[in-house]
Amino acid sequence: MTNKQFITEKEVSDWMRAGQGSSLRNISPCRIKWSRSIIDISSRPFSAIAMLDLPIALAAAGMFGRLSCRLSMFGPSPDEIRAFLGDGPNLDHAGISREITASAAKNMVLRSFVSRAGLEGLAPFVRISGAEYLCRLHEKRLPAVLVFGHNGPIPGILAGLYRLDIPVLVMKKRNTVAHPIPPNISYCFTEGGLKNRALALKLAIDRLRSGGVVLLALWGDGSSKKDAVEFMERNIFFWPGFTAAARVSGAPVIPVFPRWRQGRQFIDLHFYDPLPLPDYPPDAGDIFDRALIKEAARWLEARIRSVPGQIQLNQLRSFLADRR
Amino acid sequence: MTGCSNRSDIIKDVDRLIKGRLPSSMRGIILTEDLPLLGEGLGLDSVGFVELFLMLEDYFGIRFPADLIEKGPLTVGSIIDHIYKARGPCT
Repeated sequence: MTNKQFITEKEVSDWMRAGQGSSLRNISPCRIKWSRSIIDISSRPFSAIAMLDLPIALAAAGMFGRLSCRLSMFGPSPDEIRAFLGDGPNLDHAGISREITASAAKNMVLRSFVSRAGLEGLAPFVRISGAEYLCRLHEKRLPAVLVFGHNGPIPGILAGLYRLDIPVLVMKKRNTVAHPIPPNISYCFTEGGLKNRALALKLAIDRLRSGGVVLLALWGDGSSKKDAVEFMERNIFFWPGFTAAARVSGAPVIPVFPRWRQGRQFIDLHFYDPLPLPDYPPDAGDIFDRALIKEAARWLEARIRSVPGQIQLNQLRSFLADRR
Repeated sequence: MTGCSNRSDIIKDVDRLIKGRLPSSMRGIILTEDLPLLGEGLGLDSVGFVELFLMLEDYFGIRFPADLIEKGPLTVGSIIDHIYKARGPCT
Protein backbone atom coordinates (compact mmCIF):
# COMPACT_ATOMS: atom_id res chain seq x y z
CA MET A 1 0.00 0.00 0.00
CA THR A 2 1.43 3.39 -0.93
CA ASN A 3 0.71 6.92 0.20
CA LYS A 4 -2.83 7.65 -0.84
CA GLN A 5 -5.68 9.64 0.55
CA PHE A 6 -8.29 6.90 0.52
CA ILE A 7 -8.44 3.16 0.80
CA THR A 8 -10.41 1.38 -1.84
CA GLU A 9 -13.18 -1.03 -1.19
CA LYS A 10 -11.11 -3.75 -2.88
CA GLU A 11 -8.22 -3.19 -0.47
CA VAL A 12 -10.51 -3.56 2.50
CA SER A 13 -12.00 -6.70 0.95
CA ASP A 14 -8.48 -8.03 0.45
CA TRP A 15 -7.70 -7.40 4.12
CA MET A 16 -10.82 -9.17 5.18
CA ARG A 17 -10.00 -12.17 2.98
CA ALA A 18 -6.37 -12.23 4.08
CA GLY A 19 -7.47 -12.25 7.67
CA GLN A 20 -9.92 -15.06 7.06
CA GLY A 21 -12.90 -12.87 7.58
CA SER A 22 -12.06 -10.07 9.93
CA SER A 23 -8.63 -9.60 11.33
CA LEU A 24 -5.90 -7.01 11.21
CA ARG A 25 -3.40 -9.44 12.61
CA ASN A 26 -1.65 -9.84 9.27
CA ILE A 27 -1.20 -6.14 8.68
CA SER A 28 2.02 -4.91 10.20
CA PRO A 29 1.97 -1.67 12.19
CA CYS A 30 4.65 -0.25 9.88
CA ARG A 31 2.47 -0.77 6.87
CA ILE A 32 -0.40 0.94 8.59
CA LYS A 33 1.85 3.73 9.78
CA TRP A 34 3.01 4.63 6.30
CA SER A 35 -0.24 4.42 4.45
CA ARG A 36 -1.52 7.87 5.58
CA SER A 37 -4.98 7.12 4.30
CA ILE A 38 -8.44 8.03 5.41
CA ILE A 39 -11.35 5.76 6.04
CA ASP A 40 -14.67 7.44 6.59
CA ILE A 41 -16.69 4.68 8.14
CA SER A 42 -19.80 6.80 8.12
CA SER A 43 -19.93 6.48 4.33
CA ARG A 44 -20.44 3.46 2.13
CA PRO A 45 -18.87 0.97 1.71
CA PHE A 46 -17.20 1.33 5.09
CA SER A 47 -20.45 1.79 6.93
CA ALA A 48 -21.40 -1.70 5.80
CA ILE A 49 -18.08 -3.05 7.04
CA ALA A 50 -18.53 -1.17 10.27
CA MET A 51 -21.89 -2.83 10.71
CA LEU A 52 -20.25 -6.20 10.27
CA ASP A 53 -17.17 -5.46 12.29
CA LEU A 54 -16.95 -2.08 13.96
CA PRO A 55 -13.64 -2.82 15.65
CA ILE A 56 -11.90 -3.65 12.38
CA ALA A 57 -13.25 -0.54 10.69
CA LEU A 58 -12.31 1.68 13.61
CA ALA A 59 -8.93 0.01 13.99
CA ALA A 60 -8.10 0.57 10.37
CA ALA A 61 -9.27 4.16 10.43
CA GLY A 62 -7.71 4.99 13.75
CA MET A 63 -4.31 3.54 13.08
CA PHE A 64 -4.15 5.67 10.01
CA GLY A 65 -4.45 8.63 12.33
CA ARG A 66 -7.36 9.92 10.33
CA LEU A 67 -10.43 8.60 12.04
CA SER A 68 -13.29 10.46 10.44
CA CYS A 69 -16.35 8.55 11.54
CA ARG A 70 -18.99 10.46 13.43
CA LEU A 71 -18.47 9.86 17.09
CA SER A 72 -20.45 12.67 18.63
CA MET A 73 -22.63 10.16 20.47
CA PHE A 74 -19.64 9.25 22.61
CA GLY A 75 -18.53 12.69 23.61
CA PRO A 76 -19.25 14.92 26.60
CA SER A 77 -20.97 18.24 26.15
CA PRO A 78 -19.16 21.51 26.87
CA ASP A 79 -21.50 21.89 29.85
CA GLU A 80 -20.26 18.62 31.29
CA ILE A 81 -16.69 19.85 30.87
CA ARG A 82 -17.65 23.07 32.64
CA ALA A 83 -19.24 21.08 35.47
CA PHE A 84 -16.06 19.06 35.81
CA LEU A 85 -13.35 21.70 35.42
CA GLY A 86 -15.17 24.86 36.33
CA ASP A 87 -14.71 28.18 34.54
CA GLY A 88 -11.08 29.09 34.09
CA PRO A 89 -9.82 32.01 32.01
CA ASN A 90 -8.06 29.78 29.47
CA LEU A 91 -10.47 26.87 29.43
CA ASP A 92 -11.93 26.08 26.02
CA HIS A 93 -14.75 23.80 27.11
CA ALA A 94 -15.87 23.01 23.56
CA GLY A 95 -12.29 22.25 22.49
CA ILE A 96 -11.73 19.97 25.49
CA SER A 97 -15.01 18.24 24.73
CA ARG A 98 -13.85 17.58 21.16
CA GLU A 99 -10.48 16.32 22.38
CA ILE A 100 -12.09 13.92 24.85
CA THR A 101 -14.34 12.66 22.06
CA ALA A 102 -11.36 12.13 19.79
CA SER A 103 -9.38 10.46 22.57
CA ALA A 104 -12.34 8.20 23.38
CA ALA A 105 -12.50 7.14 19.73
CA LYS A 106 -8.76 6.59 19.58
CA ASN A 107 -8.84 4.60 22.81
CA MET A 108 -11.58 2.43 21.36
CA VAL A 109 -9.48 1.91 18.27
CA LEU A 110 -6.46 1.22 20.43
CA ARG A 111 -8.19 -1.54 22.37
CA SER A 112 -9.23 -3.12 19.11
CA PHE A 113 -5.77 -2.79 17.64
CA VAL A 114 -4.02 -4.19 20.72
CA SER A 115 -6.41 -7.12 20.88
CA ARG A 116 -5.24 -8.08 17.41
CA ALA A 117 -1.64 -6.89 17.21
CA GLY A 118 -0.71 -7.30 20.88
CA LEU A 119 1.48 -5.00 22.94
CA GLU A 120 4.36 -5.88 20.62
CA GLY A 121 2.45 -4.32 17.75
CA LEU A 122 1.72 -1.18 19.75
CA ALA A 123 5.24 -0.71 21.13
CA PRO A 124 6.61 1.11 18.03
CA PHE A 125 3.95 3.78 18.51
CA VAL A 126 4.96 4.63 22.08
CA ARG A 127 7.45 7.42 22.78
CA ILE A 128 8.91 6.93 26.25
CA SER A 129 10.42 9.67 28.40
CA GLY A 130 11.50 9.96 32.01
CA ALA A 131 12.11 6.22 32.41
CA GLU A 132 15.76 6.55 33.45
CA TYR A 133 14.96 6.39 37.17
CA LEU A 134 12.73 3.37 36.69
CA CYS A 135 15.39 1.59 34.62
CA ARG A 136 18.05 2.31 37.24
CA LEU A 137 15.78 0.81 39.90
CA HIS A 138 15.24 -2.21 37.71
CA GLU A 139 18.98 -2.69 37.10
CA LYS A 140 19.51 -2.69 40.86
CA ARG A 141 16.52 -5.02 41.29
CA LEU A 142 14.87 -2.42 43.51
CA PRO A 143 11.09 -2.36 43.63
CA ALA A 144 8.76 0.30 42.34
CA VAL A 145 5.05 0.94 42.38
CA LEU A 146 3.70 2.70 39.33
CA VAL A 147 0.52 4.68 39.69
CA PHE A 148 -1.63 6.02 36.93
CA GLY A 149 -5.16 7.22 36.54
CA HIS A 150 -7.80 5.78 34.27
CA ASN A 151 -6.85 8.28 31.64
CA GLY A 152 -5.22 8.48 28.27
CA PRO A 153 -4.29 5.49 26.11
CA ILE A 154 -3.62 3.11 28.98
CA PRO A 155 -2.37 0.13 26.89
CA GLY A 156 0.49 2.46 25.92
CA ILE A 157 1.86 2.07 29.46
CA LEU A 158 2.08 -1.68 29.08
CA ALA A 159 3.49 -1.43 25.57
CA GLY A 160 6.16 0.95 26.91
CA LEU A 161 7.03 -1.39 29.77
CA TYR A 162 7.11 -4.25 27.28
CA ARG A 163 9.64 -2.29 25.27
CA LEU A 164 11.68 -1.49 28.38
CA ASP A 165 11.55 -5.22 29.18
CA ILE A 166 10.70 -4.63 32.83
CA PRO A 167 8.79 -7.42 34.59
CA VAL A 168 5.46 -6.07 35.71
CA LEU A 169 2.52 -7.26 37.73
CA VAL A 170 -0.54 -5.27 36.73
CA MET A 171 -3.26 -4.84 39.32
CA LYS A 172 -6.49 -4.07 37.54
CA LYS A 173 -9.95 -3.63 38.89
CA ARG A 174 -11.55 -5.98 36.36
CA ASN A 175 -10.43 -8.36 33.69
CA THR A 176 -10.87 -6.58 30.39
CA VAL A 177 -7.61 -7.88 28.97
CA ALA A 178 -8.17 -8.87 25.36
CA HIS A 179 -4.61 -8.89 24.08
CA PRO A 180 -1.94 -11.58 24.05
CA ILE A 181 0.12 -11.21 27.23
CA PRO A 182 3.90 -11.05 26.77
CA PRO A 183 6.09 -12.99 29.20
CA ASN A 184 7.25 -9.96 31.20
CA ILE A 185 3.69 -8.95 32.13
CA SER A 186 1.21 -10.69 34.41
CA TYR A 187 -2.13 -9.62 35.80
CA CYS A 188 -4.24 -9.85 38.91
CA PHE A 189 -7.75 -8.48 39.34
CA THR A 190 -9.35 -6.97 42.38
CA GLU A 191 -13.00 -7.02 41.40
CA GLY A 192 -15.12 -9.76 42.92
CA GLY A 193 -14.76 -9.17 46.61
CA LEU A 194 -12.42 -9.06 49.52
CA LYS A 195 -10.65 -12.29 48.64
CA ASN A 196 -9.57 -11.05 45.21
CA ARG A 197 -8.39 -7.71 46.60
CA ALA A 198 -6.41 -9.44 49.32
CA LEU A 199 -4.92 -11.88 46.82
CA ALA A 200 -3.90 -9.07 44.46
CA LEU A 201 -2.29 -7.16 47.29
CA LYS A 202 -0.40 -10.21 48.56
CA LEU A 203 0.90 -10.93 45.05
CA ALA A 204 1.95 -7.30 44.71
CA ILE A 205 3.81 -7.19 48.01
CA ASP A 206 5.54 -10.51 47.31
CA ARG A 207 6.61 -9.11 43.95
CA LEU A 208 7.85 -5.87 45.48
CA ARG A 209 9.77 -7.67 48.19
CA SER A 210 11.66 -9.59 45.53
CA GLY A 211 12.59 -6.42 43.67
CA GLY A 212 9.83 -6.30 41.10
CA VAL A 213 7.64 -3.59 39.71
CA VAL A 214 3.94 -3.39 40.36
CA LEU A 215 1.80 -1.30 38.12
CA LEU A 216 -1.27 0.05 39.79
CA ALA A 217 -4.14 2.12 38.64
CA LEU A 218 -5.21 4.91 40.88
CA TRP A 219 -8.87 4.14 40.58
CA GLY A 220 -11.61 5.89 42.40
CA ASP A 221 -15.32 5.88 42.86
CA GLY A 222 -18.22 7.07 45.00
CA SER A 223 -17.83 9.88 47.43
CA SER A 224 -19.90 8.35 50.19
CA LYS A 225 -17.11 6.26 51.67
CA LYS A 226 -15.51 7.62 54.78
CA ASP A 227 -11.97 7.60 53.40
CA ALA A 228 -12.70 9.81 50.41
CA VAL A 229 -10.12 12.47 49.64
CA GLU A 230 -10.39 15.78 47.84
CA PHE A 231 -9.96 15.42 44.10
CA MET A 232 -11.09 17.85 41.40
CA GLU A 233 -13.17 19.64 44.02
CA ARG A 234 -14.99 16.43 44.81
CA ASN A 235 -14.72 13.73 47.43
CA ILE A 236 -13.42 10.59 45.78
CA PHE A 237 -12.50 7.27 47.31
CA PHE A 238 -9.30 5.74 45.92
CA TRP A 239 -8.52 2.13 46.71
CA PRO A 240 -5.58 2.23 49.14
CA GLY A 241 -3.95 -1.00 47.95
CA PHE A 242 -0.99 0.68 46.29
CA THR A 243 -0.18 2.73 49.37
CA ALA A 244 -0.13 -0.37 51.56
CA ALA A 245 2.08 -2.13 49.02
CA ALA A 246 4.49 0.81 49.03
CA ARG A 247 4.38 1.18 52.81
CA VAL A 248 5.05 -2.46 53.57
CA SER A 249 7.75 -2.93 50.94
CA GLY A 250 9.35 0.52 51.11
CA ALA A 251 9.02 0.82 47.34
CA PRO A 252 9.06 4.24 45.68
CA VAL A 253 5.83 5.24 43.98
CA ILE A 254 6.39 6.41 40.43
CA PRO A 255 3.50 8.08 38.64
CA VAL A 256 3.09 7.45 34.94
CA PHE A 257 0.79 9.14 32.47
CA PRO A 258 0.17 8.25 28.84
CA ARG A 259 -1.31 10.69 26.36
CA TRP A 260 -2.06 10.90 22.71
CA ARG A 261 0.22 13.20 20.81
CA GLN A 262 -2.06 15.79 19.31
CA GLY A 263 -3.03 15.06 15.73
CA ARG A 264 -0.83 11.96 15.57
CA GLN A 265 -1.21 8.31 16.29
CA PHE A 266 1.75 8.26 18.66
CA ILE A 267 1.44 7.82 22.40
CA ASP A 268 3.67 9.85 24.69
CA LEU A 269 4.44 7.92 27.84
CA HIS A 270 6.09 9.85 30.62
CA PHE A 271 7.38 8.50 33.91
CA TYR A 272 7.39 11.17 36.61
CA ASP A 273 9.59 11.61 39.66
CA PRO A 274 8.58 9.45 42.63
CA LEU A 275 5.89 10.86 44.86
CA PRO A 276 7.23 12.12 48.17
CA LEU A 277 6.49 9.44 50.72
CA PRO A 278 4.64 10.62 53.84
CA ASP A 279 6.79 11.37 56.83
CA TYR A 280 5.29 8.62 58.95
CA PRO A 281 6.75 5.27 59.96
CA PRO A 282 5.49 2.21 58.04
CA ASP A 283 3.54 1.07 61.10
CA ALA A 284 1.49 4.28 60.95
CA GLY A 285 -0.93 2.34 58.73
CA ASP A 286 -4.00 4.34 57.86
CA ILE A 287 -2.33 7.71 58.43
CA PHE A 288 0.47 6.85 56.03
CA ASP A 289 -1.93 5.43 53.44
CA ARG A 290 -4.25 8.40 53.57
CA ALA A 291 -1.39 10.89 53.22
CA LEU A 292 0.01 9.00 50.21
CA ILE A 293 -3.40 8.76 48.56
CA LYS A 294 -3.82 12.51 48.99
CA GLU A 295 -0.43 13.02 47.36
CA ALA A 296 -1.33 10.70 44.47
CA ALA A 297 -4.70 12.43 44.05
CA ARG A 298 -2.93 15.81 43.95
CA TRP A 299 -0.58 14.48 41.28
CA LEU A 300 -3.43 13.08 39.21
CA GLU A 301 -5.44 16.29 39.49
CA ALA A 302 -2.46 18.33 38.30
CA ARG A 303 -2.04 16.05 35.28
CA ILE A 304 -5.71 16.10 34.41
CA ARG A 305 -5.90 19.87 34.71
CA SER A 306 -2.86 20.22 32.44
CA VAL A 307 -4.22 17.82 29.79
CA PRO A 308 -7.98 17.61 30.43
CA GLY A 309 -8.63 16.20 26.96
CA GLN A 310 -6.96 12.95 28.00
CA ILE A 311 -9.40 12.02 30.73
CA GLN A 312 -11.27 8.84 29.96
CA LEU A 313 -14.91 9.34 29.27
CA ASN A 314 -16.14 6.76 31.79
CA GLN A 315 -13.96 8.39 34.48
CA LEU A 316 -15.28 11.81 33.60
CA ARG A 317 -18.87 10.59 33.90
CA SER A 318 -18.05 8.79 37.13
CA PHE A 319 -16.51 11.91 38.64
CA LEU A 320 -19.40 14.04 37.43
CA ALA A 321 -21.76 11.78 39.32
CA ASP A 322 -19.83 12.57 42.48
CA ARG A 323 -20.58 16.25 42.93
CA ARG A 324 -19.71 17.50 46.34
CA MET B 1 10.88 -16.53 66.00
CA THR B 2 13.02 -19.39 64.71
CA GLY B 3 13.09 -23.17 64.82
CA CYS B 4 10.33 -25.68 65.35
CA SER B 5 7.03 -25.08 67.13
CA ASN B 6 4.50 -27.04 69.06
CA ARG B 7 1.00 -26.65 67.72
CA SER B 8 -0.28 -25.38 71.05
CA ASP B 9 2.41 -22.68 71.09
CA ILE B 10 1.49 -21.66 67.55
CA ILE B 11 -2.18 -21.41 68.55
CA LYS B 12 -1.31 -19.11 71.45
CA ASP B 13 0.93 -16.91 69.32
CA VAL B 14 -1.53 -16.70 66.44
CA ASP B 15 -4.33 -15.82 68.86
CA ARG B 16 -2.26 -13.04 70.40
CA LEU B 17 -1.00 -11.66 67.09
CA ILE B 18 -4.40 -11.69 65.42
CA LYS B 19 -6.11 -9.99 68.35
CA GLY B 20 -3.42 -7.33 68.31
CA ARG B 21 -4.33 -6.44 64.73
CA LEU B 22 -8.09 -6.35 65.10
CA PRO B 23 -10.22 -3.21 65.17
CA SER B 24 -11.02 -2.26 68.76
CA SER B 25 -14.63 -3.35 68.30
CA MET B 26 -13.45 -6.91 67.59
CA ARG B 27 -10.83 -7.29 70.32
CA GLY B 28 -13.11 -9.34 72.59
CA ILE B 29 -13.73 -11.99 69.98
CA ILE B 30 -13.03 -15.62 70.79
CA LEU B 31 -10.92 -17.07 67.99
CA THR B 32 -11.97 -20.53 66.97
CA GLU B 33 -10.18 -22.59 64.36
CA ASP B 34 -13.13 -22.53 61.98
CA LEU B 35 -13.37 -18.72 62.05
CA PRO B 36 -12.79 -17.30 58.55
CA LEU B 37 -10.01 -14.72 58.29
CA LEU B 38 -11.63 -12.92 55.39
CA GLY B 39 -15.05 -11.34 55.30
CA GLU B 40 -17.21 -11.00 58.37
CA GLY B 41 -15.00 -13.21 60.53
CA LEU B 42 -12.47 -10.68 61.80
CA GLY B 43 -13.86 -7.47 60.34
CA LEU B 44 -10.66 -6.76 58.42
CA ASP B 45 -10.52 -5.08 55.03
CA SER B 46 -8.15 -6.35 52.33
CA VAL B 47 -5.28 -4.15 53.48
CA GLY B 48 -5.76 -5.10 57.14
CA PHE B 49 -5.92 -8.76 56.21
CA VAL B 50 -2.72 -8.69 54.14
CA GLU B 51 -0.92 -6.78 56.89
CA LEU B 52 -1.93 -9.49 59.33
CA PHE B 53 -0.68 -12.10 56.89
CA LEU B 54 2.67 -10.34 56.52
CA MET B 55 3.02 -9.93 60.26
CA LEU B 56 2.46 -13.67 60.77
CA GLU B 57 5.01 -14.38 58.02
CA ASP B 58 7.62 -12.19 59.66
CA TYR B 59 6.94 -13.50 63.16
CA PHE B 60 7.11 -17.18 62.24
CA GLY B 61 9.80 -16.70 59.59
CA ILE B 62 7.81 -18.37 56.84
CA ARG B 63 6.08 -17.33 53.62
CA PHE B 64 2.43 -17.91 52.92
CA PRO B 65 1.98 -18.73 49.23
CA ALA B 66 -0.61 -16.61 47.44
CA ASP B 67 -2.60 -19.72 46.56
CA LEU B 68 -3.37 -20.16 50.25
CA ILE B 69 -5.68 -17.16 49.76
CA GLU B 70 -6.78 -18.24 46.31
CA LYS B 71 -7.77 -21.79 47.15
CA GLY B 72 -9.35 -21.09 50.53
CA PRO B 73 -11.32 -21.34 52.65
CA LEU B 74 -8.89 -19.47 54.84
CA THR B 75 -9.57 -19.93 58.53
CA VAL B 76 -7.66 -19.45 61.75
CA GLY B 77 -7.17 -23.21 61.78
CA SER B 78 -5.82 -23.44 58.22
CA ILE B 79 -3.28 -20.73 58.99
CA ILE B 80 -2.18 -22.58 62.13
CA ASP B 81 -1.88 -25.79 60.11
CA HIS B 82 0.21 -24.06 57.45
CA ILE B 83 2.57 -22.58 60.04
CA TYR B 84 2.88 -25.90 61.82
CA LYS B 85 3.72 -27.72 58.59
CA ALA B 86 6.13 -25.04 57.43
CA ARG B 87 8.06 -24.91 60.69
CA GLY B 88 7.96 -28.61 61.50
CA PRO B 89 7.05 -30.20 64.82
CA CYS B 90 9.47 -30.27 67.73
CA THR B 91 10.57 -33.83 68.38
